[in-house]
Amino acid sequence: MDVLGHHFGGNVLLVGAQAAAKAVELAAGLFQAPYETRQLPGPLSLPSAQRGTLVLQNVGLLDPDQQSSLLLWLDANPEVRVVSVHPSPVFELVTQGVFSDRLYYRLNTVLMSDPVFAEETLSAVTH
Amino acid sequence: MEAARLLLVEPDDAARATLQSAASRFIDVEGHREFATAHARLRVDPFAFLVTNLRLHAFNGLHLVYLSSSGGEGASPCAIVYSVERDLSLAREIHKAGAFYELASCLPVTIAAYLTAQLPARDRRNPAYGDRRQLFRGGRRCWDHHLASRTK
Repeated sequence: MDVLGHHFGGNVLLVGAQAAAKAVELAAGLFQAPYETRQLPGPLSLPSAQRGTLVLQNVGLLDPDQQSSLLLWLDANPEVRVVSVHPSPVFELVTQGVFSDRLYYRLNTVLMSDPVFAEETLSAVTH
Repeated sequence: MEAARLLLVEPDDAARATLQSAASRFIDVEGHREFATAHARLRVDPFAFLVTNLRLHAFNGLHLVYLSSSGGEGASPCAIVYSVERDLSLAREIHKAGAFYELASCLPVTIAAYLTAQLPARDRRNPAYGDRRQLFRGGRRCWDHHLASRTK
């Protein structure tokens, strides 16, 4: 049973050492829509496209202003899907108060950190 | 024919006990504290209802909604996702997943309606409007309230 079927419209948070490669695989494979990538830390220019996929590398490095901008942008662009990537658990940043709780639950509609979840979900892309 | 069952996922023991007590008058309830155990159960058994907190520590209750609906159109349970505070953008995300959005404070009362009433295919309420179910409505009750407040 795959959680990311063709009807899936949520955002995905990938956590772990292999997450960056999986994010590109996910964006280019299953979602089959144009995608843009933003690398953090650095300036966050959010795309004007109303559809497609945005891949955010090192999402845990978003500063508080960037987190607020991203939340507003998500509200204004409900059709855009976001695939976020971070090498370590972002939830720890939430508990430390460094990462917005609201943004976290917007970005992790599906969280893939355990290899079992990752395999289960990615099989939709590769088969 | 097997009786309909409800899968409840709530990390807080007291809140889970309250919801379990409210729902078990109408349906068999299986309560879970952890995302992982609920995830494992949904993968092997169908449930008529899925009731989950949006915030399951590191995980999101919507993950379970998508998982439960991935078995096909007929297999999808009625999903209710709740949060402690009203949040418009999270409510939109919940609607997008095809689930009903509720406030945690209302759910112990409203869950009876979910379990006994004929529900629409999806939540059509606009989360931008406030929840008026706990307010006095117009007419007699409103007038009684007005009189009671004048005599205080």
